[in-house]
Amino acid sequence: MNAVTDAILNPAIGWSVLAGFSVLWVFLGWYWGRNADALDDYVLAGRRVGLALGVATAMATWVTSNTTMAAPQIALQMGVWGMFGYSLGAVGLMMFAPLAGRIRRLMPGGYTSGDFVRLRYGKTAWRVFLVISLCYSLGWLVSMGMAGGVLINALTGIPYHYGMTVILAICVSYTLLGGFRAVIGTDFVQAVLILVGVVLIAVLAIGNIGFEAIHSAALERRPELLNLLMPAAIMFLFNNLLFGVGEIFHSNVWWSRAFSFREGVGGKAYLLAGLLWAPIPIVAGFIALPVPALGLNVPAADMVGPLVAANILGATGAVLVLIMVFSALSSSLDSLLAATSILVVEDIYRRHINPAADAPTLRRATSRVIVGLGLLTWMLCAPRIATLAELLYFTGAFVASTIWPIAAGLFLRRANTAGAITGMVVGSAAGLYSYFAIGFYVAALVGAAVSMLCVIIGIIAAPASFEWRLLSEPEPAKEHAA
Amino acid sequence: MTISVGLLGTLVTICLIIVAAAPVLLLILWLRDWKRKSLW
Repeated sequence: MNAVTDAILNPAIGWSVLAGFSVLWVFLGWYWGRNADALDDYVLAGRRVGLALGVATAMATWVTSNTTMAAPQIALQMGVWGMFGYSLGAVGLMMFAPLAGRIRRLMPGGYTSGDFVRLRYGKTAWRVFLVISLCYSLGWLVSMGMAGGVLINALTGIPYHYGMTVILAICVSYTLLGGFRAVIGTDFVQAVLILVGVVLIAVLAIGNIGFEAIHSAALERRPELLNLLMPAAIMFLFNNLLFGVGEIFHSNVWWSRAFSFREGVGGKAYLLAGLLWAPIPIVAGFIALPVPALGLNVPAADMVGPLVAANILGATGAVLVLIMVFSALSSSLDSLLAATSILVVEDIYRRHINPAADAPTLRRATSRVIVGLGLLTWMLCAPRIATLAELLYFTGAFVASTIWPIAAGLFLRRANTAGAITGMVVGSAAGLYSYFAIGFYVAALVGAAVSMLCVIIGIIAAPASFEWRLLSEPEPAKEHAA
Repeated sequence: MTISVGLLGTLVTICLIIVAAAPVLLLILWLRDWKRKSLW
């Protein structure tokens, strides 16, 4: 099999699209971030992000390449429940809304989710949390980098290493140039592009084939796609919901946004983003249902979206998919680079290595860490080891075990340190065991359930009496004291 | 038990309308924030 001859677009068109959008992202990143010299401007966009950019950045970041490519794949494998199950990823965004508002109020000078765990539960819980969070961030970065190379190769025939290098280099460049302002500004443009692309492809599929033809062909040739009682799909639905909640509750990608939104915006932004995000996987997943009506032979389930788009729209459809995929990958990669770099700088460099670091020193360290993370991700993606990308799925058990320590820690004074630590450690272990003993679809469920028990037992057995004012720390000095 | 064509069509159409309205809503919010000088 030759990737170039099997690709939907020819490489010249692929390179042109990549070059055009790369120039656009880097220019916009530089333009929006050109005055972001101070630490808070660079890592949190000045803590004054409004509702429009807040909603768009939450939506665009949560629309990963998985949403645009895996939603049709899941729909092809699990039918209509797969589409609904994927859309439940929105629950995490909506449930984070009240947390975002509270985080902003309780920690007006906070930088990371690690800051919260350190101040709320102490250093042991913080270090356990950091291991979970950094492994998850790295897993997500590697899976996005690899997905970039694989998808660009499948769509355009551009070799894996070139595509992966281009997407990583572009995201590192504009995040480095403009910091969090570049991330949030480009997220807005990327969100609009993704939404318009999904709508165009779905409307043309319905217009060209029609609901009746799509439904009757599926009923005749693939009736399982329309089955409302598919047990594996129903289990996927619950697991996906908890995995999503765990990802959002613990990850600094979402906490850094909560810190960056202006007072009163966080709750509304996450709620609206969740409501607008929920139908995207259903529309994207629906793109797979015309496969029986079109009589398509799908060699790999993860290519069903581009195949249907290309079949209905020709090269224009394939270009649309490439733009959507490039936007979805960029919007997630830039957010991960920005959020993970400040997590490393604040929680490892400042709190472990250089406690006296002033704001300019931390600002310079953040730039270096962005470049370092980009290089590390490239090195891990270069060998193209598929199991590395699959590592992200293992993290379902780990991230789900942080849901209760985070939520209880933010709202209940009585949540205690022992409950939080055992919740994260025992919850992760139980979730991981169930992953291997039962299946991937129960790992997050078990991790969250065991963690919840630990937190509740901790509250009943030895209730704490936490003082919320302890969460408010002074920001780092603007410059080093003489 | 399979989903009927009517239910599938209604569901997908509602979702499609929301997804199509989302970029318009984002642009309206952008304009509002821009006028109030509260984009960021």
